[in-house]
Amino acid sequence: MDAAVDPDAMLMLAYARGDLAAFETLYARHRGMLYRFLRRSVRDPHHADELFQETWSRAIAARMRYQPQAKFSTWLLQIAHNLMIDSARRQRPMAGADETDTVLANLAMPEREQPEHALSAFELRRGLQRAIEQLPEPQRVAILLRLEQDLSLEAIAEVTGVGRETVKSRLRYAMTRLREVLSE
Amino acid sequence: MTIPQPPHDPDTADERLPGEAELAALYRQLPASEPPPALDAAVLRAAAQALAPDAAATATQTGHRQPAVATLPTRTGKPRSHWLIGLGSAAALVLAAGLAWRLHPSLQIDAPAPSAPVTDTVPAQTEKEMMAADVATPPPVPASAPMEPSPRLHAARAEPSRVPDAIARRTMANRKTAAFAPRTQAATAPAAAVTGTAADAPAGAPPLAPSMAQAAPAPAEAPPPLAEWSASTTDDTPAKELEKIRQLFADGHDDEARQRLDAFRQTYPQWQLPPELEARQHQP
Repeated sequence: MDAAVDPDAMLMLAYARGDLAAFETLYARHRGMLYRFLRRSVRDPHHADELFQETWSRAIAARMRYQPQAKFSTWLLQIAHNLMIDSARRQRPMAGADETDTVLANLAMPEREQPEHALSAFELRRGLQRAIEQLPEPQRVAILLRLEQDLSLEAIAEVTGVGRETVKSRLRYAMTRLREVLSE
Repeated sequence: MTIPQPPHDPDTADERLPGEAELAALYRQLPASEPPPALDAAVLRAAAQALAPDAAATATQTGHRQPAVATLPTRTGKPRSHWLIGLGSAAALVLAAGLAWRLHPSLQIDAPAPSAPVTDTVPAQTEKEMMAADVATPPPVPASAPMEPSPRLHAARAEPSRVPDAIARRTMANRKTAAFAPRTQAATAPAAAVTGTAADAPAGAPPLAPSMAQAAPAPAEAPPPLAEWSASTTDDTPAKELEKIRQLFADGHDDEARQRLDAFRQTYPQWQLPPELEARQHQP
């Protein structure tokens, strides 16, 4: 990835030179996607917040040695994924069903939706959320990177540190499992 | 047989998997959670704090990179320069005072004369008075003064026991050497040692040891008048002493010259005497 064509990489380089406004722009662009990726990957909101803050702290600390060899979003997600893997090794890998229900119950529902339609949509979203959370961690991360970030197979492979075909296989398995859950 | 795969651009979405579009549409309906403001503030604060040390380091480096500004006289640089100049001036003043004290004629201590009686009982106050008298009114120096060769011609003058000897010798010789207090030293000015002029001869240095005196240069020509050389002092170098002896021979004081030549040979047995002195020593 050429840094000249990645505005995010240019912003990161500008921040490394001391431009705080560049970082603020960079943060505004990627805060949401990173936060959602972590929230839907680790489920524990507090732990997700910790990983979110730690991810940005690592990016800040690595600003001087940052080299735009990949998209900034890919690099940032790679940091988050590594932190998440390290954290999962220290904690229990999967959340229980009760915790999943608690998380889903806290999800906000758009007010514009009609009650019957909203109920159907809520059921669908709840089913999708539960199905994603029940996936094995490698497949969950792959599908989240695909659906949330619309990353290519190569980008997902770069973030997760596996081969492209492995990513493709994980995505196939994850989508099959999600479709099965939603069709029930 | 492998099926060639089309090239994939990692930055663009590649082939879609079956059912991916429906899942992606449903996923986009999930509530888009955002980080809380406190988390945003914490991250932005960390980013700003990370730049603070960099800014300080950059400012420091910038200060070092701009010597033009630093070379200009500033208020912070002036006191330091003045302080150094003052310290250097004080050190130079102390050095000059020390040299002046060392070079002062009244503080020169001559070697004892064997013919003079050892007056160890002379009080220090007497010496001081005599030194003051030397400085105030230098006595006239006679044309010649009989001086016996001293085996301790170049003994260290710093010894306290030599002080009364020097005073006694000075009394016996009518203070002949007072007018020529700045002594020549072969170690510092070999050529000046034979000229006998105060301007050319730095004084104050300790006398040469015999081993060092052997390396002194040979005596030069054109010795000064006998009056300046008739007395033997502790500051005399071997070359100067030989010059005095030669002058004694020239003035007809053969006996005294031979005695001093004998004393010289005893003091400096390895010193190569000039041929004329070697010949005069054995003459009847």
